[in-house]
Formats: sequence, C-alpha cells, structure tokens
Amino acid sequence: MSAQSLPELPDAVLDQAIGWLVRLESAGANPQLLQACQRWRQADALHEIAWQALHKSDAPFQGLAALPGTVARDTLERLHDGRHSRRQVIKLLGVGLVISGVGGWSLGQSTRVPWGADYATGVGERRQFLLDDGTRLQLNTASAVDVQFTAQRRLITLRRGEMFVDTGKDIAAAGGRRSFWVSSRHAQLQAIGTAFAVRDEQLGTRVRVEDGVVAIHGNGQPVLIAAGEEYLIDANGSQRVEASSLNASAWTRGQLVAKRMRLRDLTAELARYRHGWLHCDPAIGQLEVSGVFQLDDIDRALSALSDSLPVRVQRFTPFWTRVVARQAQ
Amino acid sequence: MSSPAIPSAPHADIRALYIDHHAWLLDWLRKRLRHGDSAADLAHDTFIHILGKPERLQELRQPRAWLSTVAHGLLVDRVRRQRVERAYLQAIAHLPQAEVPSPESQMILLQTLARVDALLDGLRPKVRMAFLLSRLEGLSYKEIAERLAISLSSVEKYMASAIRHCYLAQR
Repeated sequence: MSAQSLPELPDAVLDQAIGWLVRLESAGANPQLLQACQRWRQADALHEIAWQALHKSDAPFQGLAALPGTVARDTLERLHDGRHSRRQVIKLLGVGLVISGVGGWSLGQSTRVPWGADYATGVGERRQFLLDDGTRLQLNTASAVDVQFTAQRRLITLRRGEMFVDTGKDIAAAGGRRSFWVSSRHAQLQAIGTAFAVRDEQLGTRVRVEDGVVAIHGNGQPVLIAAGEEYLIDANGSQRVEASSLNASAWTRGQLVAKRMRLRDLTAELARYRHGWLHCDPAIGQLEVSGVFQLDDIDRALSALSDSLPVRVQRFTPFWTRVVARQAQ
Repeated sequence: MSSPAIPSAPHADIRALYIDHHAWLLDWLRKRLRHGDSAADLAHDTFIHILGKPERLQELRQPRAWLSTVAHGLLVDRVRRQRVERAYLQAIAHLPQAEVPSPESQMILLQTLARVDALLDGLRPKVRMAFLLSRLEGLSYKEIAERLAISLSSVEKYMASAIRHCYLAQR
C-alpha cells in the first residue's frame, strides 16, 4: 500500500536510531546531544541509512500538517472508534472476537549460529536463526532443538515446543544438496525443499506444511504431506487433521489465530506464552472463540476475552490467573 | 484524464481481455455491490489498474482469478476510502468555512488519513494518543506528559514504541 517501502534494518540499528530520535525530541534543541547523534550517524553507513529511513517513515504524518486544529486526530479517532463499534456488532452476533493489528514482532534480523549448537527459547520468547546451509529456523515459546549437520544429511531434532523451518538451498555442500530431516518424539520427517511447522504436543507431533512436501517416515510407506495440509503423528501412525481451530504458523508472525476454538484450548494455548498459572473454569471451557491475538501482549488478549465473552479474568497474583464465568448482572 | 503511454502489444492483450471478460467481471461485481453504477465504475477501474501493469499480462494463465483479485482489492479500497471520508466530514463539520481545506487538497488528505489509520492499527490506546499529540498537534514530550498525566520517561517509551511500530508497518 505504501508508495515505497522502507529498508529492512537490523533490529539493533533501528532501535539505536529510534533511541536517538526520541532523546533529541524529548530534550529539545540540545547542541551536545545533536553532536553526539551526528557522530553516531557518521560512525557507520548503516546508521545514516537508518536515520534517513526513520525520517521517511514520518512522512505520512507530515502530510497531515495542513489540516487545521484537531481535525486529523478527530478523524483518526472516529475511524478507530468506528472499528471498535464494528467489533461490538460482531460480538453481538456471537461470532467471537476480532482484534486486528499489525504484529509488532520483527523477523528482520536473523542471528547466525554455528553448527552443532543447541538452540532454545524461554517462555514468551520467539527467535529466528539462520543456519549455515541457508535454512531459516524459527523457534516459538519454550522450545528447544538440536542441529546436527553431517556431510550426508542435515538433521534437526525437536526437543520440545514448536518450530518453523524454511529449508535452505544448501549451496555450499561439497557433495551436492544434502537430505533434510526432522526428528521429534513421535515422528521422523523428511523435508523436500519446503517450509513447514512442527509442534511437539503431549499426544503427538503436529506438522503443517506451508510450501513443498514433507514425508512422514514410519513403518511401511512414507506418507506425503502437501502444502496446506496438517497431520498429527503419534505412536499409532499419522492422521490428517481436516479443520484445525488453531493456525499452525501464525505464531511466526507474532499472532495466535483461532477459529472456533474452545475457550479451554485457547487459554491452554495462551498459557504457553507466559509464566505462571492460567486456568480456565470448566463451566465455560466449551465456549467457542474466534480471533486474532497478539502474542506480545497476552494480558491484552485475556482482557479482550472478557470484553467479548461472558467471562471475567481473575488475577490473584501476577502468576495466578483464572478465566471464570461472569456473574449475571 | 490522459491515458498512460503503453506499448501496443499489451494494448491488444488488454483489448482481448476486455472483450472476453468485461461482462463476467461486471456481473461478479454486481453481485457484491448494491448499485449497478459503482459496479461499472469498479470494472472500469480494474481494467485501468491492469493497464498500468502490462508486464503481468504476458504470464496470465487465469485471467478471471486475476481480475477478481484486482477488483476485490479496489473494492476494499473503496469501502475504506468511504469510511475515511465519512469520518473526515464529521471532523470538519464544525470548522469555520475559511478553515476547511480546499476540495483539491482533500483527496490527498483522505489518502494520507487512510494510510495513517492503517499504520496506527494495533497500537495501544495510550501509545497511540501520545504519538498523535506529538505528530499531529506538535506537542512537546513535556506537554504530552502533562496532558496524559504520565511521566516524561513513559512518553519517551511510548514514542519509541510508536515510531518503531510505524516504521515496521511501512517496511
């Protein structure tokens, strides 16, 4: 939609540039600060690019300077409120809740890590890694993998949690492109030039393929998963999941996308992203919810639930939260 | 309105596309719009839009899927524009006549408002408010802190988060 898009910048540089801008704006005209900022800009070409790009990102707002008084802000507030009241209508229709928003999570920067290391994330953390064969590996909250690349094959072992893999072209491999495997508690998967999500669950391993093909190896013939398909693999074999209530790769964009998901399952899902107990009263566990939640703000997601469903969020301590039925007024 | 200069070969393709699919597209749009006139307008706009992208014509395999995608995008844009226009007209309703922006500048302003509205989507209300007071009304950080009854360091934090959000949204 924007006329020209702004450059992808390393997170650290973008944050530094924003830091300078905010300090300067906050302090007013401060010559010393201005000089220090100048030095920062000159220290690295990337700094100057970031600085210029940041100013460019402000252009739409400058375009509204011609509007008198509070007209611009009034218009924007009206639009914002309008959207809010539409949500109310949706709520009244019993469809569930819809929270729109641009995910604040940036995938712009990858961290390059050597082979053989273990990668892990803490609760609420999501990270992206670029492996030496060009594979992009993303880990969701509370996840851990081992990466073992040998001359013959590439293997990622999912220890716990959830990952998204976009396999690299493996250009540098001496013997040509090596096969790519993922191993989990329940499954042996072979990726064939592909992007897919793998999730370790109590009862099995869930796999969703976004692009290309993944083969499930077990007893007998491998089962092929095509793009757009989702499978659950456990000790008894593999099974196609037809209509999943949870979008399996939305987390890579920092979102939780639920479609007619039971409240019980949704709270369990949200609980993965935060510390402490998050419990759902069984009396309301069957309520169905649809919506888009931002993973960076789980508390806001919980509040949104109480806005749109006959439920209430009880917070006893920051670590103990219960979702219960709202008393009839 | 001047027509854009385009090479003649794609022009012939457009012609063929128009002859083969215009009626279908019009019907497709009519099913989605209450007024037949705006369906005709949008069908027209769809072909104009496609004129601007002659390179895409060469590789076109499923013209109807493509046409309906473009038309749908334009439809969504139109609904958004109408929402913005309504909000804007309400906001300027109480302005003295002399202060109302000229009709010529209005179109650009509406586009910019729509764009800014989309950029801000997802910001927390307080962050959004602080940012708007700074960018649209030129308040200093200190003034914003006073107005919102928050600390200066909160304002700085909110501003940093809003600037980041708007940057990433335009990337």
